[in-house]
Amino acid sequence: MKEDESSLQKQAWLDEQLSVEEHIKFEEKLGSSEKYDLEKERDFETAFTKKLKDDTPDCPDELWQRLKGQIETGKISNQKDPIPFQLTKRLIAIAALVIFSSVIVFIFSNEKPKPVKEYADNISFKNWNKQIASLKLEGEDSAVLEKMLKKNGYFVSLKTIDKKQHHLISPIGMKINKEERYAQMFFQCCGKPMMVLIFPKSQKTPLNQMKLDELNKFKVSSKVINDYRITVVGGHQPQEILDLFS
Amino acid sequence: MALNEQSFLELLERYKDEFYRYVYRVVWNVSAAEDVFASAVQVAWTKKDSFIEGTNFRAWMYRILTNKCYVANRETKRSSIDIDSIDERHFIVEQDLNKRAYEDPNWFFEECGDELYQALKKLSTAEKSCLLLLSVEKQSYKEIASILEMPVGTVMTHLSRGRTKLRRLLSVYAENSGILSKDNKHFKKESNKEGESA
Repeated sequence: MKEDESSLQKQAWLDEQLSVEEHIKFEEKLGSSEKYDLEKERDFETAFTKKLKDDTPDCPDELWQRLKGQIETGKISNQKDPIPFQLTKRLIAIAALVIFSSVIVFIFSNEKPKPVKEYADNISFKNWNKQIASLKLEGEDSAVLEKMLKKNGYFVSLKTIDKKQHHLISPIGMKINKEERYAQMFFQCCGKPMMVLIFPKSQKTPLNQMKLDELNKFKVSSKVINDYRITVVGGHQPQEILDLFS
Repeated sequence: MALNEQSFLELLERYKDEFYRYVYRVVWNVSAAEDVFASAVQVAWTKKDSFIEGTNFRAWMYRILTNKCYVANRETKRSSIDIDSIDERHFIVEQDLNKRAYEDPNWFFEECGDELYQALKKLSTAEKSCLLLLSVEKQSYKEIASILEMPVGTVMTHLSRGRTKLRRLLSVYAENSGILSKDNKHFKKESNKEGESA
């Protein structure tokens, strides 16, 4: 008897799938130790079956009564085959992914990534050199700054910067963005870089384009003066600079 | 003659626990088991005209249940029949360990506890179905072949592979957890008894 055929017969014997004739014939060929091993194997399978039977719950009564009720009331025939649990989970996951992707696409399509980076980068001395060069300050006095702003169409007043006050404030530079209609002023307050944005109050703040986590790195104060909104952003007390504007 | 409502419910009520246990063991998740069972009952009821009264209701129902289990386990019959891809070397059974487990299999399975179910989860749907239909539900090879719509030879292959995998996984667990180690009290006791009787 070939080895494969023999092992198939052993398996069939263990599973009690042989006919009576085949069973007798097979057992006649077995030696006593071989028969002992097979019987041990059968005991092992019996214990496995018992363990499975003992540990598995019956059909929950609530489930059975619900299904029975659906059949009796004819509800079941009108229902479509319910979606299996795993499939439901998969559909939910796909739907969640689609929604999430749509939100991301929506956010990014409404966002102008360049200004976001620009604003974030601007609030550091490192990048201010280039910005300052675009509109060099003609002086550090409030009157000079006010004049420069008015010359560019931004009619706001600035109080005199008190050099003796607690916060040491000094202007560093200015930039006028004609395309997006806002003025940027750069200050230093107690050694920290601060940025001022002046834009028409009817216009959306350019800071809306900053991501929240970027904005959270800085302190922000804002107020409306005449037709303008003044927003101060920086790593120190923005209110001190905001108070200069009236 | 097709089933009417009363006879369908009578037959289903008779076997509901057996069917539910089968689904529970194949999908191994309570909520999935309930969904699969409910879904299979609904399909059976809507397709009851295809069942001929007097033929094997259990086999007919197991076919529906098994198909639902394949879907729940995200497997297809084709994928589970692709058994040649399994590297046999991973399933070489530690004969010594198994011999010792054979000495007291009831004790061995109790000691393994939930690990038996963890091992069962690692079997394919076809392997689990074949094992459960044969061992627990006492179906013949031919009946299993009819339920799973595969040749008897394939059923035997799934059974053999399923058992080998299961034993290998349990052997590894038993070896790592010390259940079958030489200094295990249970086996010390057994060997002492042998020594005494000798």
